Amino acid sequence: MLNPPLETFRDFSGSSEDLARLATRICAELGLGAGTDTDELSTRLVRDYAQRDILSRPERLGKEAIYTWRHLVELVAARALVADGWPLAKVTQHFALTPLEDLLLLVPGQGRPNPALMAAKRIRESTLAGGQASEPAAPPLQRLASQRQRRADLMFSMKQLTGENTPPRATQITRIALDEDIHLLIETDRLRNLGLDGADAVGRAITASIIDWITAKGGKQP
Amino acid sequence: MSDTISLDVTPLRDALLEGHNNACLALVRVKAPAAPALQTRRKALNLALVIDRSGSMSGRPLEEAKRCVGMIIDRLGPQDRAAVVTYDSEVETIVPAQRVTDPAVFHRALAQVQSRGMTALFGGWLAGAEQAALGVNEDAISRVMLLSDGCANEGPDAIEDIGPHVATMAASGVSTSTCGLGNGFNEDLMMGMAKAGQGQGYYGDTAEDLLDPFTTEFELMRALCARKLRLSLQTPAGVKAKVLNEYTQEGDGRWAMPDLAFGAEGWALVSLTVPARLCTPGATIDQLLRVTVSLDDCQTDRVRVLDHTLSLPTLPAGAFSALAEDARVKARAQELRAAELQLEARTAARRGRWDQVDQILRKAEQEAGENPWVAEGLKALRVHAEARRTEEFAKETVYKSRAMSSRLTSSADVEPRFSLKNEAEMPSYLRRKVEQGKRMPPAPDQR
Repeated sequence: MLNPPLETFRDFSGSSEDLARLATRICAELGLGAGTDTDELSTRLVRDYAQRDILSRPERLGKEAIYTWRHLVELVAARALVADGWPLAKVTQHFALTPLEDLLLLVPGQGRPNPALMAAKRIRESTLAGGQASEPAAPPLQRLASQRQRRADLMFSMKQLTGENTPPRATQITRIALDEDIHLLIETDRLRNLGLDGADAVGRAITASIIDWITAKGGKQP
Repeated sequence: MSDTISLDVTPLRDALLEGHNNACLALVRVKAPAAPALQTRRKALNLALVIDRSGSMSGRPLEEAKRCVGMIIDRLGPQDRAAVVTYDSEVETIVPAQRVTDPAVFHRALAQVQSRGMTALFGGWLAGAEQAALGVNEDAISRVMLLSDGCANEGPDAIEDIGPHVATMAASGVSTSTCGLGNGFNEDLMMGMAKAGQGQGYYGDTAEDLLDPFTTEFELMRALCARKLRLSLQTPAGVKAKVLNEYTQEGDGRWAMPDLAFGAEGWALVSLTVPARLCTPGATIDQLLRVTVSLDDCQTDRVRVLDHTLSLPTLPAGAFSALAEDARVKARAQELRAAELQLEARTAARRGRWDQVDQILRKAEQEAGENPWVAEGLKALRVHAEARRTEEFAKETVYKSRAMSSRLTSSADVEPRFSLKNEAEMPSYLRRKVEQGKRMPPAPDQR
């Protein structure tokens, strides 16, 4: 396996000599030299591939052609296909229809994309664009921030309200909707143990409370 | 000690009280074997060392940071990879990711680093993550080690914005550890990044205290024997189980435990609530708690799944109260309680309520009982509280609380009693420090 991976050279930029030298090293590491027409890639071969449109047209700086990551991938992928017995004409046809990232998959050992590199790329794109995190790969972290600290903050605030050593009390409540506008809230434990007589008593207590409230308010709505 | 990783569950008491609702504790321990005499195979390290070189790092702090990074480089070998990134207002990869075949390359680059500018912390971290990502593979431990002495003031600066990115990289194979320096850094951000990044959080009070965290981090990575520990709990109907440690619970309900090193054990304290109806006289509750831990074994490169079931009998009140409490479980419970109270004290300190801080610390001291490590740590906190040093108090409580709730402990049958001498003899990642931001003082006989 190529280590470091081909992605390491994404920032590559250089002359045909630089490209030939780097591609020679990579092809040697990948075992792509053996059995092909030459073990060492020459600048002549680079130009030949450029003329055949296997390599994209390079940028020019004055008289010098500048090759980049794209050309490196094209060159190494082409050598991989040639090593597999593909004729150059077929390689040209294939490359004309294939996006660069797919060409990368033709290089041995590069078939499985590096998920860490892809994640880093997504992060850079999202933050450079000024956008917020769009993180499909992240596992849902339910407790990313310190819940413990939040709990500590809450405990502190509760103590400010209720005095030292009075923990918050959590009670399970059952809500019974008697009508669209009338809801009865009752502690679930109490409800569970209420019994028929108890239910009757609660009903009467509610009636009494409502009558009391209406009487006190003179029948007016608050 | 077993020569493979094992799982054990120990209850605080060996029975439940019959006829009552029971609230009991059980300690889950994932125990690593001792380090092999000849470590035939170890994971390569693939590190990105990210240094803050903003203006505030000028002088001794930056020099010390460079020395720490240099120390790590010198300990790496040609099988390891490293990159060095610096950041101020701008981010610069001063040594791109490469195999450490020539440490001089790194030292020369470090010598050129000078302080200037603001603190683009996120940009620095991201450049480090990109460099580490280049070398991610199954045979390597890939990590960003981020150092900062200040608050991020260029680019994203809040844990809510940065944390998800750090978690994403961790899920993709690049974990993050952080190290704060001094009392001007944002401890919530730095600790939050370490948690999200599935790494460690450290801080150094002064430049002289920086070497300790770097050494610990390095030794821990070198000694790792299992990673990606995930804990799941199963109980019978009506029994409730809750992990009391500050571990992240993932979407599938499993708890992420810290990576495991040789000679260490990872642990979780589980609180169980058992209703009275199950605690009938003479009954034994089979499979009261079923614990499953999955992990990546670094020695074999295989995923392993460990399983342990706890069953407990019920006893009448007399026999139950005669049962001794397990000392190890009790000590962990005291540490977790102390961790909780310290964070509460931090909140009070941040609000300037030093009277409340005093009360909370007193309470923590009472509850620490005979636990000498907790007691010594609280004594050190009191010094900051009495001097009303808010920043120092806040940082120490955050890091101490984290250590008490998620530290690796010795996997020896009996954990050595806390003393400076005993701690000094342990691997750095197992040491119980009295002050998290201070370098470990020498043992009494080494002074």
